[in-house]
Amino acid sequence: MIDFSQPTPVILSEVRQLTPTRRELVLNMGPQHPSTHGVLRVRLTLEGETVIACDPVIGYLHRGVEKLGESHRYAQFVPWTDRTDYVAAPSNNLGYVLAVEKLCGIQAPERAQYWRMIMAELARLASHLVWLGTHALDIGALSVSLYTFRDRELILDIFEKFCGARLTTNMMEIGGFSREIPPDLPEMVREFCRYFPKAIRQYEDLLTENPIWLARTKGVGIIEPDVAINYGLTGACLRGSGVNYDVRKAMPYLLYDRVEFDVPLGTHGDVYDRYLVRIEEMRQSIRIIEQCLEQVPTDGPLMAYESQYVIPPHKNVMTTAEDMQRHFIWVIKGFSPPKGEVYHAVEHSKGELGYYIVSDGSPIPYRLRIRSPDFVNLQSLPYMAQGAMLADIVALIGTIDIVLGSVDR
Amino acid sequence: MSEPRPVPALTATSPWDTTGYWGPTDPEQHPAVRLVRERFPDAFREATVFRDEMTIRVDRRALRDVVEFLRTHPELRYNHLTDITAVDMLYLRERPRFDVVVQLYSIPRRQRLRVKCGVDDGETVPSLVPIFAGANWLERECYDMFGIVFEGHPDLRRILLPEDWDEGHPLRKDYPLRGYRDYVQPGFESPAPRIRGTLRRPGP
Amino acid sequence: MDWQRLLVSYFVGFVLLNVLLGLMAYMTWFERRVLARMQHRVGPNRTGPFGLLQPIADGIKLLAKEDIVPANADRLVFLVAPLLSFALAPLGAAVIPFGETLHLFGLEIPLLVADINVAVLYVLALGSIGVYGIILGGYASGNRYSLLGALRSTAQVISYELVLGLSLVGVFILAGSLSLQDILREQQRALVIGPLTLPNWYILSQPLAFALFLIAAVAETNRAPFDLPEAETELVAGYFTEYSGFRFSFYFLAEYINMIVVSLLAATLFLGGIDGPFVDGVWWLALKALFFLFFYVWLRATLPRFRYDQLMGLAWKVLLPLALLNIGLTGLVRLWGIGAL
Repeated sequence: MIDFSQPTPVILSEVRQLTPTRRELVLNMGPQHPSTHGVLRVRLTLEGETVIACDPVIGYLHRGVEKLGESHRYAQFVPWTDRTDYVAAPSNNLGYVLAVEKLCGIQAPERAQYWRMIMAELARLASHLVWLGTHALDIGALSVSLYTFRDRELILDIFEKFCGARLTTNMMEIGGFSREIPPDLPEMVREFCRYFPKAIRQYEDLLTENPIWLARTKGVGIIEPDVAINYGLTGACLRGSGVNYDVRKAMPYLLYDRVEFDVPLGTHGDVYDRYLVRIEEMRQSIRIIEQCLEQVPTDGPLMAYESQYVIPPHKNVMTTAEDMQRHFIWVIKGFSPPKGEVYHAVEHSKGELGYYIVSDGSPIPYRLRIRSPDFVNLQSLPYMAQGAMLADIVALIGTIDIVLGSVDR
Repeated sequence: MSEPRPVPALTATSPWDTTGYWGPTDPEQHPAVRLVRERFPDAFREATVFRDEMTIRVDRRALRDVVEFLRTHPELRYNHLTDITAVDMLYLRERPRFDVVVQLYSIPRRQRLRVKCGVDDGETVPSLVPIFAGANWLERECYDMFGIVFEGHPDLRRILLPEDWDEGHPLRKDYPLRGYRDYVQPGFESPAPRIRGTLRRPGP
Repeated sequence: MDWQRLLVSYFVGFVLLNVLLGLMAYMTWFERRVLARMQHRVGPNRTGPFGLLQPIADGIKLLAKEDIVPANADRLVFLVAPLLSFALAPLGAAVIPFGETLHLFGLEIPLLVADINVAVLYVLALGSIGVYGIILGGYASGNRYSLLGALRSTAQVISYELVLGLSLVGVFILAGSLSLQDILREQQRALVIGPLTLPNWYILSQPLAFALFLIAAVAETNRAPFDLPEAETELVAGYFTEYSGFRFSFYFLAEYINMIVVSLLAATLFLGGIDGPFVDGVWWLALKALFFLFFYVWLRATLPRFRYDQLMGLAWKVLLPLALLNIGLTGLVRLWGIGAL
């Protein structure tokens, strides 16, 4: 058991003095830099190649998504969630939609929940593939990124088949899915599940036992379990340190309690362990998708139409006056959930993605807070960077797995 | 880690408040509510439940002590700081203006808890950085977006907005959503007053 | 006559330089195509048949680009440094024999520009001078990434030059000469071990030296996984971050010429150069060099990049002792006069 009596020291940035000593060099890494994954800026103080201090500066992609949420109706905000973490858009949709459903007290039908799980797991795979590709590219393995992006295309094809969009999917709707699942989609997903384990082996052949990869990742960026918890890390950053916390297991949402999967845990908490954890997570995601495909009913409702908060069925809108009026009001005025506040978290590919919504009973959220996992995870960078070298910084940024759209919101 | 708590089977029609990830829905039976009320009789304000989510409201001056108590008490062990944020209550109540919302999670007990405290403009909240290292950026974001000052924070400066941003705190409800401002090169002239606008909010 | 020999030498040098420049241009095409195939891509295939005109299009594009000099650059040095790198790169090819001496029009035409008796030392020395282009360019850019790249390059070249030189000592001991022609001649002998008749290529008698030379040569030419001076994911582009247009292309070309020269050198030193089955000739040399060039591309497609301290550790803690060990062993073998070596 971890001892929580001693507080963890906060590693603060010491870079703020603009005149370093004669032996030191201030290097401004980013916001335009090939391996800061977007517009992250890291101010480094270097002595030779050794990092003395490290200060991540964020906000270059700040678009005020939370403020936007406070001026959009509940259903209108779903596309905005795509734009936070744009490499795993369905997971963001899911987190928001579940939070709104919790606020309204509704639940999607079983079949929709299974398909939500399948899409969320595919999104996790897509995100992990981008992570693996860019992380390996940062460390210098050129080809892995091409392979991962090749396989990510297959996932994006599935997304396209499902909802018509590839990247910003706007896939989940409040109450389920209003459109029927394309009939050949299950086979498409199955085909992908058959193919993908081979692809994972391919990546592992290139990296897992590669001596240079081991030298670059083992023992780098160690974060101890108690420190990881204290920094509020979630996702693979926390599990890589050996702390067993996965929202899907700890507080199952959707139907994650009906599928079997393992939560991979690291032991050392270094970059390599986090790499292994994420690789194993990809395998587990395939397991989850396969079980979902077996269990999902082929027929049944996809949308909780019985609720007043849900958009009426399209067919009825065209035929009945009552539903047409409801539809009109739903679209023009929106729906008004009860007064209250909810926090709902999902296990995003990067960690715990939470949506905290305060409702004042109006059709617009009074306050919409996005607890993005990589924002919280990124603040452990100065801790991990203690005594690291310049080349390690790119490995560390890669291992935290950030998407700046989600960090800056 | 403790044994996984058996989770009730989720059916398509089961309402949200049976999932129980936030502990007992009755405040009287909730251990955190009970213990905090015993330990901090003066600071404890109220405990509310919405959908299964337990919220404890405490006095702002005691926030750090309460969170520290929740973290270290062997029956509670809320050891994971999930989130710190704030809500501008301008349209909802008279005073105090802001709610600082702290989301806690107990990894060993698999339970969430929300701790709130009200804070007015010009008042400070004790920083949680001495307890949770992860509070650092979250509090900085709160300061950036709401202008809430966390006392004892080692490095309280803007985080998402530029460091020289001089136009207030955008997540406040009275922050203008639209309007223009002439661009004035810094150091030449005082900027023209910006056109104020307010968000028209449809009624419930 | 002396002036005749001089003229022939000039002529051979001129032809060689042009062939080398053409090869270098097509080396970029070769690398892009091979890399693309390894990564499930197609590579350049639009400009001309199989994209064969792509290097020309690239060259025109680079020549037409604006030549930007940063405001806080050391102007003169900034402008001269890439020329230094580029000018020194092809000189190494001057000592590599491309074939037997031709007899044409009563003239003796040796198929190499200059037969220097310290040829290998000359090539190593050129490598050491060539790094000045990198260091000066990195320093003069007035950019911290460039500076870091230049520093890395200095340390790397100093370390690996040593390994490169020491790995060749074994070959010198066996050949008894520093001249590439002599080394080549030695390798053209047949090596008879019992019933086996093998070519006396030094890869067979000096496998360790060959491996060391290969590793050190990759590091010396700043290629992956030792491409730290220009590590694009850490230092943006390293020492040539600030360069654009044809000055950028000078660095670029210098790197590729270096690769070709080192490949030719490796082929000559360890694989018998022009020696081969059937008819000896320059095609064997080309084939062997191509193998090394392919190896370069293969490495780049496969391996991650070393970290700076690991790179230094590898040179000083692993490669250097092995090189010394190899010298000792070769010396002992030579001393006892074992076999036909």
